Amino acid sequence: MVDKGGYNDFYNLLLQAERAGAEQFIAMRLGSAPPLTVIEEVIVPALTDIGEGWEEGTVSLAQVYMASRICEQLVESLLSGENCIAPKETPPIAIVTLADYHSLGKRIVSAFLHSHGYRMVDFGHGLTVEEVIEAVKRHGTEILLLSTLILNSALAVKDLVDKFQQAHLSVRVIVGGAPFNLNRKLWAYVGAHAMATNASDAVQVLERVIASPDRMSTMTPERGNNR
Amino acid sequence: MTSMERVLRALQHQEPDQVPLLLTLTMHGAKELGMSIKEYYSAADHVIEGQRRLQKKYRNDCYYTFTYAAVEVEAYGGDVIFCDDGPPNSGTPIIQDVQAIRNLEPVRVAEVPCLQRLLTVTEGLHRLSAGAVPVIGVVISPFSVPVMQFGFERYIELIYEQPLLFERLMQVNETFCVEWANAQLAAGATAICYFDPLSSPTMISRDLYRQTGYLVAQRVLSRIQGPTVIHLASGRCMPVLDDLLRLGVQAIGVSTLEDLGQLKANCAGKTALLGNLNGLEMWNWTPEEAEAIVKATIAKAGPHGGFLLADNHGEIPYQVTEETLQAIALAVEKWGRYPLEWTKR
Ligand code: B12
Repeated sequence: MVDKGGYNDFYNLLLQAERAGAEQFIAMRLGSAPPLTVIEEVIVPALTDIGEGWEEGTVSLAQVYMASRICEQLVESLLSGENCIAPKETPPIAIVTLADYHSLGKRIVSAFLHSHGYRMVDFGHGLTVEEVIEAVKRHGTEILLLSTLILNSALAVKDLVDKFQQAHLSVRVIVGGAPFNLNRKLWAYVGAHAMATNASDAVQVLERVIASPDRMSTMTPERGNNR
Repeated sequence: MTSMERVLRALQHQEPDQVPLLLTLTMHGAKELGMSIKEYYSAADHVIEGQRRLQKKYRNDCYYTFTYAAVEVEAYGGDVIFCDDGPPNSGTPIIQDVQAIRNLEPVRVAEVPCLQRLLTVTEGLHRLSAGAVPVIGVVISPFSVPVMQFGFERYIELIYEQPLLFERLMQVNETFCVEWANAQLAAGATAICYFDPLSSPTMISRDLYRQTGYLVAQRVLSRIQGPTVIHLASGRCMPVLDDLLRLGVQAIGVSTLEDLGQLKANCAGKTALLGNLNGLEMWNWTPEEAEAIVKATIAKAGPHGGFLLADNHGEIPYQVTEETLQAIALAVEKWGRYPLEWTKR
């Protein structure tokens, strides 16, 4: 077990985007604990709290982004070479930004998921509904993480979900992005399987979706205030 | 009272005849004229006519010259990506290499056709208004516009990791922003709305804001030769409210994510509030919901003036129906008449 005080220091280094300090901190922890323990007991909890802090309004997006980048790189280096561990066993997962040319939401969510040991294919941003369907068929996606920024792109998810059904593709769609955060009924309206409000939440929701194939009728959307 | 008198009284923290309604309608003009959004925005005449019709139809207390944020990168030769049912997006960022910031120069408003087109819109609406309806112009803050110039990820890294290049970028953007705002005022805009969502604590921490976006806003707003409104485009503002109040703006655009009553209590007599209807919920409101929400919003912030009813972002989504907009306008006429006796009961 890594000491709790250490966790607080690391959390603060991340909030200040002190990359060198954060790297040094982790290097020192590695003297007393194996890489996986450091990831699970220091990096992941700090990142989770930062993601949730955004939801609560105590942490800014810029801090979330910088922390996610620093942690993603740390985890990658900790798990490379001799420490290499197999990524989590999951059905094929992909992530995409539908229609919009704004990929920061997707970037942050995938950095969080990577830090938690998930692997996924990135279809990119600015894709049309048809392009997403093609990509899903090619990849054999079973869980699709879908980010949007503008309302019309969020509404286009309905069309996408309908077309998945018509094509008998059983894809579970998890949505996220400003339109869903600012309208907590929208995810259900567009027929998504689930939604998540922030990157920490995305990790938890993904875990639950992997565990249970049923639609998440009462999850996050009802939780707490808007961010 | 004319719309102008109504708005001015509210800004002076007095009670006008009715709560001013500032519907920030943009793309709806294309519907009015039966054309695509791209075609609508391509000519000043379209936008003038669209605004004229929308103002009349919904008894709107302003004309709004805003079209799309990406016009400020289009001015630098950047791409704008249009679609049929939503606002245009900026395309590939115009600055690909961070070092290019060293050689970046502000564009001159007089030399850029897409900005000149908007000035023609402003002049046209100013003429139409004949002093009776405020004409609201828009600039994107020098601190927020780099998301489109540079890409969001790289911009955040620039703020944290390259303070000198960040300062240089701000200098260029500030020069442009001041010239652009003053050109709109000269063309007849009554006030300038300074959109600055990056300064919201949703986006950057208060500490960092004080070293960056706040200083930019201070420098720019002091050089804009007319009334200004600061708008965080539905980002939160409460943690930086004191800073915003110090900027000396006439009004602050506030988010649906925060308690309007609390904001009103903190701003009363200092700065008026503009907001805070949730545009992302508005598109599927029933007329009854619209009325109830307008009523509740007026109850929180309407008493004693200092309040202008609007959406919380500065642009009402294209999907919001005529029926909903009419319901909002009717609800203001029904519940927004001062002295708002019903709120005292
Ligand atoms: C900052 C901001 C701006 C900035 C920068 C925007 C940009 N990225 O390009 C500027 C000033 C440039 C701007 C302009 C515009 N904006 Co703006 N803007 C915002 C604001 C305040 C934050 C958006 C943002 O970038 N957040 C940062 C990202 C990382 O957050 P995020 O995408 O929400 O992601 C997080 C979560 O949602 C979640 N998540 C995201 N994706 C996913 C995916 C999955 C699978 C999961 C599980 C979770 C998840 O995790 C992420 C990290 O925690 C929002 C309002 C708000 N409160 O959110 C409006 C908002 C996005 N803007 C909006 C609009 C309309 C525009 C414009 C189109 C206006 C116009 N007519 O020009 C332009 C378009 C700009 C462009 N690129 O061309 C609307 C969009 C909705 C709508 N009305 O249709 C919003 C929601 C405002 C509103 N309340 O209506 N904007």
